[in-house]
Formats: sequence, structure tokens, C-alpha cells
Amino acid sequence: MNSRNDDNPPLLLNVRNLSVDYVAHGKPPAHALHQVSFQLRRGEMLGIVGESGCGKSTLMLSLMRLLPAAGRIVGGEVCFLGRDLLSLSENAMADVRWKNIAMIFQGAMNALNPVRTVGSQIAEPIARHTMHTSASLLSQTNGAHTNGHHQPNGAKALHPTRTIGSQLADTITTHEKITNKAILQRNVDELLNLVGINPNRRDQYPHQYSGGMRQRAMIAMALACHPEVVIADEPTTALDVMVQAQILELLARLREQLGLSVLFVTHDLGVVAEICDSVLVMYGGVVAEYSDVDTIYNAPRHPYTQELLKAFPDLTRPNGRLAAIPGYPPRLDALPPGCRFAPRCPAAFARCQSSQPPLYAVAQGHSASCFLVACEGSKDERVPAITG
Amino acid sequence: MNASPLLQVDHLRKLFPVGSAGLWRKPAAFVHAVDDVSFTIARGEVLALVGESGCGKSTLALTVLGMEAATAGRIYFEDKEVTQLDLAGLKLMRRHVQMIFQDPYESLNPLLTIGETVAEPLHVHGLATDKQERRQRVIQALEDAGLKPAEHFINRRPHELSGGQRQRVAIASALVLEPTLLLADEPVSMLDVSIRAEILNLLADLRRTRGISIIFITHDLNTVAALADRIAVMYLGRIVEIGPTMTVLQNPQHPYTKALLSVAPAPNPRLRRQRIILQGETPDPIHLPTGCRFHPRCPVALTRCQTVDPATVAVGEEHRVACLLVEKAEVT
Repeated sequence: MNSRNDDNPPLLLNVRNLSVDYVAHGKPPAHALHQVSFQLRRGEMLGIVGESGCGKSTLMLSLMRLLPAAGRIVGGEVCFLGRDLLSLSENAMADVRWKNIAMIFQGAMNALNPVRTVGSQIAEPIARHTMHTSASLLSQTNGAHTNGHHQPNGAKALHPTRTIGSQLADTITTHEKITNKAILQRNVDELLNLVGINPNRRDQYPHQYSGGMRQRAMIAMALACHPEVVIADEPTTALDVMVQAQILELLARLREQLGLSVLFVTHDLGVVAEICDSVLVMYGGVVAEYSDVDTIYNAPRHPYTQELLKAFPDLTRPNGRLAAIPGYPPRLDALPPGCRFAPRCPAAFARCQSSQPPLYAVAQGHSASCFLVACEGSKDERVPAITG
Repeated sequence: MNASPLLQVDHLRKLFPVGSAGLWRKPAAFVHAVDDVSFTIARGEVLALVGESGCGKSTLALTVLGMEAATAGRIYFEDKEVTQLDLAGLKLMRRHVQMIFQDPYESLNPLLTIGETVAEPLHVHGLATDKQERRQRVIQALEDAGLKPAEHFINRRPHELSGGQRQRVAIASALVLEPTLLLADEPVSMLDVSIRAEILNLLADLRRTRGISIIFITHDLNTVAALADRIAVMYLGRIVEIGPTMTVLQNPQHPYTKALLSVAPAPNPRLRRQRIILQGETPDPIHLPTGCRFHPRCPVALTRCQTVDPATVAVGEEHRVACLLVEKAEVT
């Protein structure tokens, strides 16, 4: 149905066997990601789906090399246009960030400090007046980000005391070395136009923006340096359905208009079905299933994907009882010994209890990490799907 | 079902004054949170209250609970008028009307054990003063909420539980009073998909086994389709469409309902469809638009919609809509 033929658009991002551990003093390392592989082509929108704690945010942060201090990339490679980002120096990586790969963070909502007067907050930047580089914006967000998955509004991605325009301008100056004020302002106006915000609101503060507009401003910020790849981390999670639809429409339009490639991270299967070309389903730090969007929804092979779809409430079958998946997703510090889904899997058998299945090829462009797939395939196909 | 309804809300209005002399805003401006809302709930019925943030759905719930005083209109619970009750009367009523909040990470006291949390409503209402009996009721409530075996949970604290388990604790502490009406304010929006289904099924079971009525407040039509008997769609403080779930889903009449349905994500790429995306956001509830309050965003608005506030008219059995286009169809 989509870009998996010979006339494929060029490969932008090739992630192979990426593994990440979180280390803590006196504890065994928690394996947050285990051998994750996927590819992203130009103009492709790849949905990365999974529940809290499945490692999807860790995956995004390790692509950007922005893992918190406890995070360690212990294996694999992240090739961007043929270059392994994991082998770059920190300085070289800083050039890639935002210029080639930018990120739309979740939680643009609660940006303004509610317990301080507007006046004092306006006074603050005058006192500080130091340039916030986008790198400091990023680290600020990451801090909040890794505090836990359960506070999606905790992140303060937009600086509350500085105007949207100046924050956009910062991003541009840092990366494009533009210092001419007039050019800078024109750039900012263009960006705001692009995401559907009237440029005359440039000098307003985040609190004067609605939730949807803040999310648009976040998108404008991500686009500031014309990146090839945009990582959108739950960009619509805290928004109303109608605003969500507006943001999805905007992302689809930008992809078309700018030829963007998007990694769309979400827990919402419905949103992925609406706009993505391909889907990576994650569970407990591993890839459960990876294919084009139609296959994932209409011919899923991994029991987790199948169960997840049954559990998703659906307007088109309103009287059906939802099939909940019993149990809870595994904690990373207490992973089951075998397949990570085995304790909740309706089809688990003895082998699943002892070892984690690798990713098996089901068909061209479709793979699933399940022994059932391996059993059904012919001998030749019984090789891990993505070997490079 | 036709006996007197469990809850009857009659032309309810809740305005919040904003600003006062001396500050920037002139006095006598009001947020029209709930503006002329009427509906009933039968025993054992599940009503979904659907709308975007700021449409007044949570205020409506708080007013029903008597936690906000109604500005005008009447609320009858079991034939008693809630708006006229004194504090003691309200307390008695709240024994039968319990609320479940959205965020199980914030609605539980982290210092109390699960057992203490669930026992607290009994304390407050002076029920089950005998220690043994109290423990029995707590255990019963926990097990009814799906936390089995209850002994395994009773001495733990919220941080030891997952999100789904915490929401079950919140449900248990509502159940322990054996209420007849549950107000569930976005009870699953913070939970993962696989856990969401369990909580929705639990609510469905409670209705079936105990005959509890539920007002299910949400902005997500997907989550209520399986559970609700009827759907009420709110926009800017008013119910613009109300009717049986299947009727509203399959034959929506109000342009706002149609738009909401068209953007509800369908979990299958083969069902991608033309979405009706309303531009802008819900207008300011202080300065309501003239005429129909939806007309500035309505894709099919007529000139008349700018001046005439549509009355709610019946378009089918138990199906009512407030839209001039629908009225017009009635006349011809």
C-alpha cells in the first residue's frame, strides 16, 4: 500500500539492534530497549505505538542522544544518511540535533508558572537576559520528561517567561547563525504562518495561547532549522479531539509540503491508523511487530498487537465487549525471563517462558517477534528479519 | 424504567462571576459554565456526557453533587430537590452519589494505605463503626472493584500500585458506600489502552450487577460507545444533542455531533474518512456568541443562526437536538 517497492524514497534513518540500559547504583541494569530495529524513509510517517514503560520515549531520546544520565546505549547503531550518530562526537551530534532531527515534545500545556504575577514573569527575562540555547531548552524538557510517564503535563517545553517569537528566534540563531534581526523576525513570521498562527501573536506569552496553539508553536520550533526528520512525542495526548484533529491535519500537511519524515510516538492506536504509513509496535522494550499500517491493523501476527486492537474501543462496533489484556505491562527492572509478553499472552507455550524471540520475518516488510511466527514459517524464513 | 427517574436535572444553570469592581474586568461578567441544561437518568442507566474541555461537563457533575450551588434550575435526586438541601441533607445524598476522578495518580492520598483510603468514606458518614464490619465492607469493595485478593492490597500504599490498580482503588472507595449514582469524570483517559478496557468493563459490570447509574464524562466518543445507553453532547454549557447511543452514533443530527464523530479516530486505516475539522477552538464562555452558540464554527450555519438561539426539539424517540436546521426539517 505504500513505500515499500523498488522505487523507495531514500532511506534517512536506519536503526539497527539498538539496546539501552538504565543503570542505578547497587542494582542490576534495567534493559529499557533490547535490539530495536526500524527504518525511516523520506516523507514517511512511522507510528511508534506502545503502552507506558514500553520504551518508546527512551527510543526517541536515544536517537537524539539525549538520554538521562542513567541511560546507556549498550549496542546497535543509529544511521542517519549513512552516518552512525552513536559514533559522532558530542559537538558533531549537537549539529545534527534540531538541524537534521528535531523533536516536538509532549506537554506544551502547563507552561506558565501559575503562582507568580504576569508582571514579575515579564520582568524575569530582562534580569536574566542570557540566551537560552535550544540545547538548554532540550535538557530542560528531558528532565521533566523522564520523571515519569504519568505526568504528561509536567514538561515545560516552552519557556514560560519568554515570548513565543523570541523562543523561535533563539532556535534559529543557535543553529543557523542568523543574527540580522529583520531576517530573524521574517523567519519567525514564516514559521508561525506555516503552522497556522497569525504572526501578530509573535510577541504574546504562552499563557495567551490556547493548548492547541502552544502545540503549534512547539511544531514551529521543531521546524525552525528545516530538519529532515521530526520526532513527535505524543503531540496530541493532552488535547481535545477536535484540536487533536487540527494538529494531525497540520502534521499531514507539513509532511506533504516539506517532505518531512515523522516518527510519531503515541499510545493511541486510532491516531496511528489515521495518519501513519507504517507502524512499530513496542512492548517491554522490544519491537513486537513492525509493518505497514494496513497489515498491522488488518493482519497482525503478534498476539500483543492482536490483543491491543481488541482492547481498543471502537465506534464502529459499539456493542461489543472490550477484550482487556489481563495483567500489566512488565516493569523494566523486573522483566520476565522469556518473552516479555508471555505472562499476558493467550497463546504462550513452553518456549516462550525461557527465551525472548527475535524479530522474525512474516513477509516482505512485515516482522514480528513471536515464536508462533517462526513455527509457521518455512526453514529459510526462520531468520531474524532485519539483519541489515 | 418509566418510574420516577433517579436523577432529574431541570433547566439547570451555573454561572461563575468573573472580575469585580477595581480589577480590570467590569463586574457582572459571567462564565456560562452550564446554561439551561435538562436531562434525566433512570436507575441502572449509563449516560455519557461528551464535549470538549470547557464545555461545562465537569461543572455539571459538581453541581449535581451539590459541590457547586446552582444559579438557577432544579436538580432532583430520588425525588428530593438537591438545590434545597441543607448541609446535613447534602451529606446524606452524597452517600448515594459518588464521584470518580480522572487522575488516579493525584486523587489518592499517598500517605494512606489502600485499606484506609477505602475506609475513609465510612468514617466520614459514620457507617460501619464496628471494626470487623468495616474491614469486611472494605474488602468487599476492593474485590468488587477487581482488586483480588483484597488482603494483598489492603496494607499497601498508592505508589506500589499501577495506574489501573489505583483507579480501581478510587472506584472501590466510591463503591464502599454502595451508591446508586456514580459520576465518573474521564475515569480512563489517563490509563493505557489495555488497562482502559478493564476499567470500562468493570463499570459495565457494576451497572449490571448492582444496578448503579453512571454519568460518564468524557471527551472521547470511542470510550463510551460500548458502555453508554444514551449520549448527551455538550457545547458551551448546553446540551446540543441527546439520544440513545446507537441513534446518536448512526444518525447524528447536530453539526457539532457530526464533526465530533468524524474526528474520533477509527482504529483501522481502511476506515479513514472525510473528517469535518472545526477550525479554532471553543469560544470564550464569558462572551457567548449571539444566536446559536455554535454558529461561528458551524460548517452549515445559516444567517438566521446568528440571531436565533435554537430551542431543543425532539427528532425521534428520546432523541433531542438544538439546531435550526433540524427544526426546519421538522416544519417542511
